[in-house]
Amino acid sequence: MLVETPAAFNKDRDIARSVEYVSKTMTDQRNLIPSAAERPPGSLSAPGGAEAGRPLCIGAGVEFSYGKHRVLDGCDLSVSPRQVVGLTGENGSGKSTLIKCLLGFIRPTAGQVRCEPRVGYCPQENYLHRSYAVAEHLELVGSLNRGGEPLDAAWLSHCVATLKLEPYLSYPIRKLSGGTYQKVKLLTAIVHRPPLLVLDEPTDGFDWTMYLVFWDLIAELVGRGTGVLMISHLLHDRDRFDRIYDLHDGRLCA
Amino acid sequence: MPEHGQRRTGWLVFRLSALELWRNPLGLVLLAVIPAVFIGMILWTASENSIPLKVFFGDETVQVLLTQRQVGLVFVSAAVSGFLAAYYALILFHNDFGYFRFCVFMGLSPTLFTAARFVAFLGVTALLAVATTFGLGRVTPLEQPFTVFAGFLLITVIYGAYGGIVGVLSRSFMPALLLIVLLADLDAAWLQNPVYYSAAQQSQIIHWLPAFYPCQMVFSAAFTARSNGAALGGALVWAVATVVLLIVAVHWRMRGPLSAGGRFDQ
Repeated sequence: MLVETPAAFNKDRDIARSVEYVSKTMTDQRNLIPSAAERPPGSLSAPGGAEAGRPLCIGAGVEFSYGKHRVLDGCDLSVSPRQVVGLTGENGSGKSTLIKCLLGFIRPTAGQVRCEPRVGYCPQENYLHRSYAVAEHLELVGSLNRGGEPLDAAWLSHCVATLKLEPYLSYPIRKLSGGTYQKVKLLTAIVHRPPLLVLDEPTDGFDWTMYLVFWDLIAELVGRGTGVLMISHLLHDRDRFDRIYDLHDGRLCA
Repeated sequence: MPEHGQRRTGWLVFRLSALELWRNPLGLVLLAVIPAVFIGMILWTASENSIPLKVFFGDETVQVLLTQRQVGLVFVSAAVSGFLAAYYALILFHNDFGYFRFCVFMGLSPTLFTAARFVAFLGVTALLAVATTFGLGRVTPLEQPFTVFAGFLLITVIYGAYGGIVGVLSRSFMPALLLIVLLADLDAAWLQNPVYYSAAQQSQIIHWLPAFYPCQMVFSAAFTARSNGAALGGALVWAVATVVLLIVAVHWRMRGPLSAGGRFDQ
């Protein structure tokens, strides 16, 4: 469950102070987020219910090393509801590693992280089941109950139509083109309309039209209260972001 | 008792698991070709000469006189069932495992995943055991067909669980397949050959292999009218142990939910 933070909290304040506050208040001080099955139902009322000012994701002083190679060196980052946060950096700079630290997949060697458990995640890897049809995949992920809320069928239909996926619903995933595969990955991340959306290179393979559609969908979600953290090498539209972090030599510059 | 949403998800995982096997053309071809080739070779090459064999009944060993063809048919059927079950379990618990780890991240219970997957796997093993018993009964008389079926079922469960364990723990398909072939070849297709076992100098080592008890169960039920509690008990212990190990292996790989640094393509 997200913990109450001081009402006066805002993004410009020293994030370490917020984290310190959160860590004092939390009853379960785990660095790793629990699996969805363990998460308490209704840990956040609804995407739209996430109030501005309460960070959905906080990382403070996050450090991580692969052996002797230090990838992250004291990274501070936060994502609040209705915020679109960009994360840029060179290839191999540690962007995906930072996200995996934030989501609890890997344990930081130092620092603290705290994220809203109901997170929609679009990883970089191609992980979809090759034997399933798109509709079968959507049926399965749609049935996965997050926070006790049933799948919003109208929202799913809207997303399928917006992403122009109707003709592909009966296609085996192994036969999809790169762009369509990416659309299914994106849809998987947003299917439950999560309060926090973490996207790792989500527009890879999109044509220009789909790139614009992507931003329309993001705007729609943000309008409903979702906070977005997005990795991209190419941030064409800097004005679409509320904040952009650049990861360089393990350090984040906002 | 799982709630309605979980039951629906469990049913979906079960249905999709069965579809995966159905959509695996190589698996379907192997299912038909491997038994046909091996049993065909026995029918073609084996003689009607009699061979004295030892069958394990716990404290005592009974000697039976069987034709080379009878021995070959039963022995090869057991070996083929074991290998095919291991291969199918490998497909179920190895291919696209990263996808299910992502589903666990999305909210799928690892226990529900294992249960639904295992029920689908048991369905395959039961069909395999029925087909093997029925096919064998057509070419050689069986004294206790139902117990023969139970023996084949236990072989498929034990070897299937073994294939699942190897599949879950291995990162790539080929080494996993080779491990399966290695044990199936060594155990079910060689050391459990009753001709070899009957004359073996160190039969105690053969007793410790996973296919020993179910194979002895099948031989005793196929060619004698006696019940074989020792073989049944040993086979059940092996089946339970391998299934428990499979469940532990699945949970271990799903833990956290991710032991592979958040990668879903492994």
